[in-house]
Amino acid sequence: MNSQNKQILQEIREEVAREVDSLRGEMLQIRCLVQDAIVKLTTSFNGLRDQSDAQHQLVASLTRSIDQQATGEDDSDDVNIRKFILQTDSVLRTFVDHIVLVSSQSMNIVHRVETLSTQMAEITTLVKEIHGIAKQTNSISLNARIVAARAGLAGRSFALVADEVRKLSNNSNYFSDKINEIIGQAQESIEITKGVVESMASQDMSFAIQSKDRVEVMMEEVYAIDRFTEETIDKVAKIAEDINLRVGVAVMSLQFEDMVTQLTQSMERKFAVLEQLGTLVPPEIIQGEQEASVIRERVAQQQERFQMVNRQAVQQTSMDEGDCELF
Amino acid sequence: MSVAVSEKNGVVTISLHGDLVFKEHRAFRDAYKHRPSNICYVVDFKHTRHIDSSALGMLLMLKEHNGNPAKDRIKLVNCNVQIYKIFEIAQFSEIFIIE
Repeated sequence: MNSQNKQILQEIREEVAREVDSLRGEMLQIRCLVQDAIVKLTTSFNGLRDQSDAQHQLVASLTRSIDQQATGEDDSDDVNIRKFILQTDSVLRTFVDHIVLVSSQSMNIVHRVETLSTQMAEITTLVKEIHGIAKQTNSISLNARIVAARAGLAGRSFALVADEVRKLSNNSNYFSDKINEIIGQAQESIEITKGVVESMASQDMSFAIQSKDRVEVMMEEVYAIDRFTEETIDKVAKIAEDINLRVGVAVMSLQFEDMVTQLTQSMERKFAVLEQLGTLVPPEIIQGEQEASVIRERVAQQQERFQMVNRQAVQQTSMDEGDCELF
Repeated sequence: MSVAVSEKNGVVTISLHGDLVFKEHRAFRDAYKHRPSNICYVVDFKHTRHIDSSALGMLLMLKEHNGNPAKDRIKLVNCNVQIYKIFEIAQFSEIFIIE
């Protein structure tokens, strides 16, 4: 009788040990799942933070590059619109400087040519004087010839001299006419020169004004784009900072693993206590065959219930196994 | 174009009536060519609508005739926007007083 009771109690103890083992196994699964998830989440969040940091660095370098362009410190060979516009402006300035220089030199030439022209006119006046003298000389030689004719033979040699004087007067007139002719040609050349100088000196300046205006408009547009870019970069930088902050909070929150470990250790200890439950009951407590069979019946029922519940338990040991249902 | 010249308190005012372009160079030069150097000039553009680059040359010749003294010796006044812009582009504000 007593040995039969002992057997019943043994069965109860075994059942308790089985159930506690099963619970222990599931608890271990939970611990594994949680640890696995924490490792992956931590890695993932750290990766996110690294990416965010990299993004932050990129944005910062972009800001620096723009600042360098703005202050003209950028001495690289990179082509940028700002540099192009500044160069255009500088080319335009050089061109205008050149026009001003040409114009001032042209005016200088014109002034000198005008002086030359006045001097030529003075020569013409002097030539007129020479012409008058030649005319007078000519009439004097004519008079001399008449006087020589009256003198007859004695005046013959005098008549020869008068002829020579007339020839000289004619020659003088010839050269005066030549000088006048050449001066006329020179005056024509001077007029042509003035025309050439005028075309050099008279440049329409409206193109320069228009170009300058266009450069200024372009500069304004570039500044507007820069302002927009800087604002956007600032916003991106702020977002990156926010991401960092939030990732930090998430990583900190993932440190609940310690608590899970402590809790499972506590559960472990409680299971050990629970296993002792079966040894607390003395065999004498079961009286009679009928009571023994009732207890046996209940133990069988308990086994059945436990197996049923056990079948429904999740047969999963890690996150990799089984499909994850997404909502 | 006609050029009116007046002198008051040692300041010679050259008033332009019309556009200052190349063909006006003689009239403009006549306004100063017999004057001594280092005196004060005011060139009045009130009745001038347009200038071309030769005007820049003429003004530089005036400055040279005046012996290239300090920039406040020659004032360019009453310039319209277009003329003012031309002076700006030519950087005349560094060598003349522009009003």
